[in-house]
Order: sequence, then structure tokens, then C-alpha cells
Amino acid sequence: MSRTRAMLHAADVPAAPGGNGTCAELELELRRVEVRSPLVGQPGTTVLVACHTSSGRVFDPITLGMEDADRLTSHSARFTLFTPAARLSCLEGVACHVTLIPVAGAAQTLIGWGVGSCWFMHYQFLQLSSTMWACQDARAGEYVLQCDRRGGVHPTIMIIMLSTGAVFVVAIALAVLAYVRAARRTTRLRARLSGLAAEPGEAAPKPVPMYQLELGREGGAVGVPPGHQGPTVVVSSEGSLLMLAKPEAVGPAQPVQESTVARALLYHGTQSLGDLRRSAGLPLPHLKAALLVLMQHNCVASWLHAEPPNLRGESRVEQLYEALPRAMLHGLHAPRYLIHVKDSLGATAEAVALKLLQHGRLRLDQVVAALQSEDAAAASQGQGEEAQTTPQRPALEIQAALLRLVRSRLVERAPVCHLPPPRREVHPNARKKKPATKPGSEEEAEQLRARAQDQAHAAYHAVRFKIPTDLVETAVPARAPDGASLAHEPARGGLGTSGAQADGSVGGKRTAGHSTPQPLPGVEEAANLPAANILWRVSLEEFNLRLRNEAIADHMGSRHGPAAGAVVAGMLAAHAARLREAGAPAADGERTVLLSEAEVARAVAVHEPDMAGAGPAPDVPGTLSSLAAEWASPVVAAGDPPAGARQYSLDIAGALGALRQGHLEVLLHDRFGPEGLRIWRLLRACRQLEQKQVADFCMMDAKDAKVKLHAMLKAGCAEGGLDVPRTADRAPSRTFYLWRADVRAACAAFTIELFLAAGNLHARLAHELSQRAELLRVLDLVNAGLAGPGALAERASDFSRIKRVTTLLEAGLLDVGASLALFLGD
Amino acid sequence: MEARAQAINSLLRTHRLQILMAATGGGHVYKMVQKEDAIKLKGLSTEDHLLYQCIARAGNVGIWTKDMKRRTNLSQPRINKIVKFLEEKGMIKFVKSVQNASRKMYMLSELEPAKEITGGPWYGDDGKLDASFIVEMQGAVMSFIRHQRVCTAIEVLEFVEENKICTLSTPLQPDDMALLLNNLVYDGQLESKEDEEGALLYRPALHHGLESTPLTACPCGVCPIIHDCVEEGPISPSTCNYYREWLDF
Ligand code: SF4
Repeated sequence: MSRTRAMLHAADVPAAPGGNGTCAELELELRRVEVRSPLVGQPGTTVLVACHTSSGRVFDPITLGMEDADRLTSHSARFTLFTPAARLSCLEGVACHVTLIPVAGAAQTLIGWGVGSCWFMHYQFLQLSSTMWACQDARAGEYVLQCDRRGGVHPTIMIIMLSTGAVFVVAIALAVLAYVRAARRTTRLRARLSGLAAEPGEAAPKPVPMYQLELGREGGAVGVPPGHQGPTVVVSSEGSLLMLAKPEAVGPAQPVQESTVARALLYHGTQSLGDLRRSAGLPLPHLKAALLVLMQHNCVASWLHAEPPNLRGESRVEQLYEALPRAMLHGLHAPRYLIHVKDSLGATAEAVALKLLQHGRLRLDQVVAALQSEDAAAASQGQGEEAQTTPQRPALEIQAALLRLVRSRLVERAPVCHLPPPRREVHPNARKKKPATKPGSEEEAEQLRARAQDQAHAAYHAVRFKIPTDLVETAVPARAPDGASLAHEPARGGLGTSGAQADGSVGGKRTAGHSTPQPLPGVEEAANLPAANILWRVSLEEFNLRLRNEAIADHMGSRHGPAAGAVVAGMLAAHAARLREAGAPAADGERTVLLSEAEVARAVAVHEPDMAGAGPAPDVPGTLSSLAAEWASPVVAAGDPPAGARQYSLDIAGALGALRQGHLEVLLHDRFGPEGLRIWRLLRACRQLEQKQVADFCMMDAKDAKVKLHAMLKAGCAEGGLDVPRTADRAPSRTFYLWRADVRAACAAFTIELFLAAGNLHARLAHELSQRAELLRVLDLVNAGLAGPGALAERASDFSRIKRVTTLLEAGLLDVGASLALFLGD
Repeated sequence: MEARAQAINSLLRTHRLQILMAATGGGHVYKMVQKEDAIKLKGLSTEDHLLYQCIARAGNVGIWTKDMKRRTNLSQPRINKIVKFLEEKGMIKFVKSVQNASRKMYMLSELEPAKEITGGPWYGDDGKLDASFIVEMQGAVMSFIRHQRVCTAIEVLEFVEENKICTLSTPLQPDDMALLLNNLVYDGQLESKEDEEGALLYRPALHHGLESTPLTACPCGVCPIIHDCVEEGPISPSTCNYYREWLDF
């Protein structure tokens, strides 16, 4: 991964008025350059930085050696500079040129100023409430200029490259700080620049963070943001509580402009471009750029909405945009996802998954090119043993890894942007009985439209994990250079992936009596799309489901023994297989389909290697019947054995509810003590009770019960004050006040706290790493062979402490993420 | 007629006769008073008698002094004086209600207070829950259910009675036992399920719940100021003392 960031900082000297136009000049100063490239690790590499305005060079070229870096790792360097101020006149633009010059080999230009490079114009810095500008660089892809208020003193503007094709450079950031001459205009300009700035006299706004996804030092991938934002609770249009706990929740690259658009979509719901422009308050080019970024990172979905035709037969068609809060939040599983991929499918698959996580969605050729260029760079530097033994991964190996990911349902096809918006699910209690529609009526047309909408989505789900036919033929089987045994690949995919075939169907015999589903319109052509036209993305939603299923099986295992855990896992896997056969989404249904003993036994046999501690193969029929006979068991038996085979189903919602309840109860016990927990369970069992009844039934003092109830009300766990008057005058003294356990609110509060805790763990990890930056630098030098191991021996105790601290924080983060999987599972 | 009137008056004077209003028809009904009761009532004024009757009518649930005032139309000081007089004579007694600890309740001294007043067998004489008795009973009940594996509240009650575990003057009722068992269910020590006839079955809990969760295992999960904690704010993860202690190996 190579990345460059340069920062231009305004001089504190006011600029002279005039210039080429009527507006004021800006003064710019180059303050920081950050370079990320494997070339940095090579001894003797230098960095050449120069910036140009339209009228000529603004700074003399600066040559930087690695010894000038104030932060240096094997692949990144940061330089702090103090250049003389340069002026940017009205109507002028500025662009920078950053080149890495190694001792041997070709120089690498990361940013250029030629034709097709990014130029940022004077007026762009002065636009009202503009915080971001997009720019297309022919060399490396798209850049976005972003305001930042790092340090809270001066607004800073950053340029971030968002995505690349197959080029070597991955990301570039350039920061510019503008400062206006007239002192009275400074505050206003800052407000314009940042879009977040305070009015004079107000407290300075909080710094806006930038986010980078990096590999953790201990092997796991951990996002380490250099800055952090305070938590914000957002209520999305659907009324679901969303915690935009930290910027990483909104994707791996999270500049301010994207965040503005994401917030506008979350607050106002699905919108067209015009509406979004008004609600986000951004100029159209910036809005479009931000939307593209959000869509690229799967944080926003785009739907093609066609209005019913009017009397003249004209139908208005518009593109709608919808924020996907759940997808954003699933991003927290990324580290666990990468570990899971590495463990189950090997290092190449992990590299593919990492590329997809970094870029959101990519075509196969883009993945291959990105990985191969990375390998080439590593090999040219001779970094690490691995690079020397396998200089470059062949394209077929990368392709095979991608296909394995798709078969394991860890990677999926990105949805096309012309899908219609999904229909809103109406709660069964709220559904009204409608009379049969008359042929040719408006209602019938409505129904047909709705059916077409459903079919379009069903067609996508049918091909979501389908491997393109042209890849099926070229795919190389079972080469596992990274040590992953492909023989067990289907079984190792975890719960819900029992032997998926290349076409997305499932191993094992189709149960007799199941009719072949009718092909959906559109599936055929989507399935036959050439691989070159398909964008792939990681399926964190599917992974979330998998984590959830694992938790359910573990819970049942801890309650009823390992055999029960294995059988429940088998039931969930068999259910997932049936859904795949039917082309339904994996999350479908509150209860599994009816499964025969033989079907469950087959699924258990496939998944047995996963069942740690299950011991000998479980007696599936016996375990199933004992589970069905258990009290409050989610396993339900159906059928009459003498007449036919007995079948079983699993109440997924019930099992998940019990699991959530367990997590909630630990928190309630911690917060309100055993009495509080007793009250909570009583209210859950009795639905609603008066305060005195609560005290009587819980065998508690009335005063204690009152204190506990009010504490739970304050924490949002209990709902109180539901009043039922005993007399018509509604006198308070003659009114029953009822209390309820508010499970939904408690779950929502718990989820928010999980996000806050995850964000805080993250922030503390970043803080600990930044506090020990010097130590980490020594470690990097030792790893790169630039310093001897003696350098570490001197600070062995410091090193072991930071290792334990990061291990503890990273483990905490992963565990909190797994807990979140339960609460985001619906 | 005159003789009859004289006889009634004489009996009334000696408190051997009580005149009551008929439930229907608006006439009077006469009730004979036992000799022992009549002796007790001897020396009571009409007002004393009126209040005594009011208290007697309340039965074993007792009556509040404010309610006496409302029913007898006597003034509060007068009521207080009479109540004191009757209490001294041992005719009525003060009872403490668990429902309204601040109210002064009275009932005839020979009556046992009702469950609503005492709170039932789980309350002590001071009107407060008898925690040690409850814990003792719960222990005995748990060991019985562990031994039996599955049983109903009635079976537990029979066990308690047979083994004379409860030494209260009033025997435990099925409701009392169900309350105790349900509390054990809410505490996670027992599990319950309805059988086919609708009776609740109890058995020891198979699973005692989670000890901790990832949230409660980290400082933020038990932090009282989690909603005030913001990066760059006065309370922040970077400067958090809870974290410092947690990470201080
Ligand atoms: S970081 Fe510290 S202060 Fe903030 S919520 Fe966590 S424990 Fe509390």
C-alpha cells in the first residue's frame, strides 16, 4: 500500500488585496507531507515536492531525505515543513508534484501537475459552506479536497485520493490551509472553508477526523484513526436508532463531505439528488463526488424509482439515494472478518478481502492488478521472506482466492444501481385486508408494480453469490500456497455455508418433494454477465449473520451440552442452504424451515470440524428430540413419527431474543444489582404492573422498588408512568401508574453503549500507539533490518507493556464487535 | 307496647341489646349481645359505643382514624380520646399496616389482623420484610427442588408443612409459596413451565446466565459517565482514569 499526503498551511501573514481578479489573494504555506509507499523503506530514497499555481511555481522544489522525516516506518514517512508563504491570486489554481526517487530503479510520481492532474482553484477555497471539492487525476484516480480543523486553530484543507484503478499509488492526501488577508473576514472564511466553524464568540468546533484502515501490528487488521470525533446519535428515517459512533462507522475513507451527505441521508431518509442537494447544502459537483465515494464504499444505495405514468402516459424516472446505516455499522466487523478469512481461506484470500475493504467494490481485474502491483513493489524492495519466495501472485491464484470467497459467501456481487427501491415491510398487525382488485384498476397496477419491484430484488439475491460462467471454466482448483487446505473449504466457511457450489447452489441432495423454483426474470442475464463487468464487495452482512448464528449455537451448547450446540449449528446451516436453493436472502425468516433428521445430520457432518469440543459425532435424532422436549427450547418438533418422518424447526428469533436477553441481564445486574434484575424479569413476565405490585411480587421494600424502577426508567430500560385512571375525574391520587420492561428501548440503549465502548476502545488504542510512536518506530526499524535487536532490548519492558496494552484493547474491540453482531442481526 | 319499650330500653342500658338497621324495608332489627360482651361495654358512653361499633365493623382489616371520623361524624380530638380510652380498656388494639405505615389503624383486640395489614407470612411484626426468614425458606425450598428435580408449589408446600420448616402461627398458603418460588425464578435459580393442566412446574435452572459480556468487561461498560465521554472533551478515552487503571499491569 502506498499513500502520500501533503499539507499546505496558510501563513499567518495577511495577504495583499488585488491579484488578477477582484477577490482577495490567499496565502499558502506547505506544512506537511506524508508519503506512503514501499519505496520509503529503501535506504537512500528521497522525496521531491514542488507546487505550482497557474502563473508559475509557488515554492522552490524541496528535496527531503528519510532522515528529515519526523515519523518514519518501513512504508510511510511524514515530514513537517516551514516553507515561505506563496500567494494564490484570484482565478488561479494550485497543484502539487510529489515524486519518490529511490537510489536504484525508476522514480515514482505520486501527484502531478500536468494535463489531467488535480488543480484546485482559488474560488474553491472561498465558496460558501463548501468543505470539499472533487478532482480527477489521470495518473492515479480521484481526489477530494477536504477541510479539516486538526488542532482546532486553523481550518485545514485536505486532498484525498479516493480510489485507483490498477496503478501503484493507492492514496494521496494534500492539505492546504487558506488564510485571508483582511482580519475581519477571517472567521467568515474559516466558516466557509470548514462548514463547521463557529460564529465569533462561540466555542471552537471539534476537530474532524480522517480515517485510515491499517493493519494492526499484532497481525489483526485494526482501524487506527489519527483523530476522533465525538459520538452522535442519529435517528434515521426509518426510526431506527443509529450510532454514528465514530467516523469508521461510515466507511474506511471518511472525509467531512461524505459525512455531511451521509448525515443528510440518515436524517431525511431516501432522497433524490435535488432533495439531497438542499438537505446537505453542498454544491452539486461536491455532492456527486461525495455520493460516489459513499456508494463506492457501500454506505449508500442507489435506486431507480419510476413514478406511475400520468394521464399523458409519461412516467418520471429518478435516481434515489438511501443511506445504509446497517452496512456502515457492519464495518466494525472488518478486523474480525479479515482474521476469519485468513484462518479459513488463507493469506491470498485475506489480501483480496483487504483490497475490497479498502476500495469498497472492485472488478476482478482491478483486484488482480492492485495485488500484483503491490507484490511487484514488495519484491523490488526485497521486503520480507515471503516476497522473496513468492515474488508475484499469479492472476489465476488471485482469481481462485476471489472465487473461494464468493463460494464461502464472504464476498458478493455489488448490486446494480438500476434496482427499484425495496418495498417497505409492513408489520403483519398493521396490514389491512384489501378487497380483491379489479382488472385494469389502479390497485392492480400498484400490485403489479410492487411485484416487479420484488422480482428485481429477488433476481439480485439469486445471483448475489453466483460465480460468472466465464470464471467457472477458468478457475484453478485447489492451489493453496498460503497453507489453507481447500479440501475442507466448504466446511470451513463457518455456519451457513455448507458446501456452496460454484453456481451458488448447495452441496447435498435436494430433498424430495421440493419443486424446482421458477427462474426469475432478469436472473438469466445477470448470471451470464461477463466477469469483467461485475463489481465485487465484501459481504459483511452475511458475515454478521454468521457471527450471530455461531453465537446462537454456542449459547445452546453451553446450555444443553456440546451435542446440542452442534445440532443447532447444523440446523442453521441446513436452513441457510435451503434459502440459497430458493434464492432467498440468508437473513430471511424468524424460524428455520422444517428440517428432517437426516438433513440436520448431513449438515452436522459437514460442519463437524467446526464444532470444537463436540467430541464424537452427536446422536442427531436423539439430541433433536431431547431439545424439542426441553423447557423453553427454540427447537420445535412437527410431524408424527408413525405416519411420517419427524421434522424440526428452530425459532431463530426466540433463540436470538434469549441470547440478547442474557447480554442485557448482565448489564442490568451490573447497573441495578440483583433486585433490579429481579424487577426486570418480573416486568417481562407480567407485562405491566403497578409500583406496589412490583414491590409485593419481588418481595422488596416499596421504597427500594421505587428507587430501582426510577433508575431503570432513567436508563431507558423500564417504561413508567402509564396511567390508568380509576375515576372519571382522572385524579392523580386515584390513578394506577403502571410499569413495563421496555425491551426494545433497552436493546437500543445497549447497542448505543456498545458503539460508544467500541469507539472509546478504538480511541484509546490510537492514543496508546501515538504515545509510544517512538518505540514503534524503533520496532519498525528493527523489523526492516535497519536497526539491530539490541535497540529493542534496551526498552524491553516498554515494548512488552505496549504489546499487552494493544493486545488487550484489540481483543476488547473484537469482542465488542461480536456482541454487536447479535444486536444488529435483524 | 309500653312494657315492651321499657324492656328494650332497659336492655339497651345494660348493653344486652343492639339495634341495627334492616337491610331491606327500612325497619329496625334487634340483636342480643352476649353477657361477656355486655360487661365489656359497660361504662361506655354513647359516643364510645358508637366508635367501638365502627371499629368492630371494620373486622380484621382494621380502620384508620380518619375513616372513623368520616363514619361517625365525631371530631378528631374526640376520636383520639375515645380510642385511647378503648385501648386502655383492652377492647381495641393498634395495628401497623404494611401498605400504609404512617396510618394509625385500629381493630378489636381479639381479632388477628388480615394478610393485607400484616403483609403475609413474609413480613415480621415490625411490618417489614423478614429477610432472614425468606432466605432460610428459600434455602430449604431449593434443596428440596434440587432433590425432586421437578415439582409444583403444592408439593413444596406439603414438604414444608410435613417437616415443620415454617413455625408461623398461621400456616403458609399456596399463594405464599408461589410468591417465594417465583422470586427464585426471577433470581435465575429456578425455571418454571406450565404443564398440560395449567399448573406451574419448577425445576433448578440449567444455566445461571452469563458472568460478563464484552461490554461489561471493559471500563466503558460500567462507566457512569459514558454519555459524557467525548474525544477531545474534558472526559475522553485518551485521558480516562478507568482505562489507565485497567491497562496498568
Ligand atoms: S473512556 Fe473512560 S470515561 Fe469514557 S466512557 Fe470509557 S470508562 Fe468512561
